Amino acid sequence: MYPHERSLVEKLKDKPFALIGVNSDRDKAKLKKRMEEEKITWRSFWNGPEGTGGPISKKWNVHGWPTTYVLDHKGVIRFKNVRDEKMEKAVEELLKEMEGN
Amino acid sequence: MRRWFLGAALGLALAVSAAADDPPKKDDAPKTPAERLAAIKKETAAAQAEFYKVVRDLDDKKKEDVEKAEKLYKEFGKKQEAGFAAALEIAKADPKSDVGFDALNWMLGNQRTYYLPAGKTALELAAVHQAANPKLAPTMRMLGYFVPHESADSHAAAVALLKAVTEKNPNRVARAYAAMGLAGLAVRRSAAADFKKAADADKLAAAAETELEAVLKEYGDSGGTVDVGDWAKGQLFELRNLRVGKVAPDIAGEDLDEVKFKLSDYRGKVVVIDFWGDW
Repeated sequence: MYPHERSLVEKLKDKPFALIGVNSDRDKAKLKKRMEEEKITWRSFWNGPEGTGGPISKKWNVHGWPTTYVLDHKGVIRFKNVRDEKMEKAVEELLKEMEGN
Repeated sequence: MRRWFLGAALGLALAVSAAADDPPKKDDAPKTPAERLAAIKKETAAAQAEFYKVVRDLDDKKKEDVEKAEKLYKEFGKKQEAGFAAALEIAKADPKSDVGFDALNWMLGNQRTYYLPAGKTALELAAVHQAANPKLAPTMRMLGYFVPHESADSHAAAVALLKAVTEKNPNRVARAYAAMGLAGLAVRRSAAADFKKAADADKLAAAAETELEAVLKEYGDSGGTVDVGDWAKGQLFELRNLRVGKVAPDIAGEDLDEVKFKLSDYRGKVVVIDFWGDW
């Protein structure tokens, strides 16, 4: 997913859009090195030392990775588990809707 | 390749020691159903161990290695299917017996059987003859999680077994897992309707909530390896708060630089939340 997410973040950098991760790696130091290598610049919550068993994914009932949610500018869930091209399409639809209002 | 050389060398050494220590028996073929079942399990486990051993040394970035792994998996799959078929014959001969139970339980403890013809028959036999067996709990955990899809041939047989277990099994943990499996079907139907934006999506979500609440009330404190109470609570939270159209619950936490922030800080922007990990 990284290349697609990177290009989406780059493409929409001047738009009212944010990609927010919830990261479930246990080893933060190793992860930061990987993020530099992969040029992952977007912000993530850390799910804590329990990894995939951490509190955020537990509360959100996440059992598969990656899991995605797309929210509109009012914070309403509009799409679930869209990836790559579908994610981009969903985001663009919501940006357009927001500009129309 | 490396393993082949190693195997050849070991084979020679073993042949020598076998000749010295293990005089050949006249007839060492297993006789009783229990002995036959034990031999089937052992053979299948050995084939699986061998498969993993070889695949472990392959490189998933090399096309020829990936092809080799696929070929080996198919070969192992055939051996495993032969094992399931042989175990089913033992179960069919006396499905009420202990060995009949062991054969069915061994098969159904592996989710792969749910998509094989032998698995369908095993589910049917278990529903009729073994639904009250308290030792069925771990298998109900597997089946409860991986109820075969509605389009699968074995779906109806799986549902019948889950229902029979909730009605007849004296072991509360077995009943809890079976109830989890049945409520999970309602959750799946609701999720599928949401995905399709079907007209009855809200009705199906309400039906799933009702089933989950019943499971939580009856089995929320039943314990077991998987906590059915936690499972039901998680599903209920998702149905009530995380469906399309709901305002997303806030997340308050720390980023990877230990700076506190909230999801709601981004209100006013279109947001993608991505649960991810680098693995």
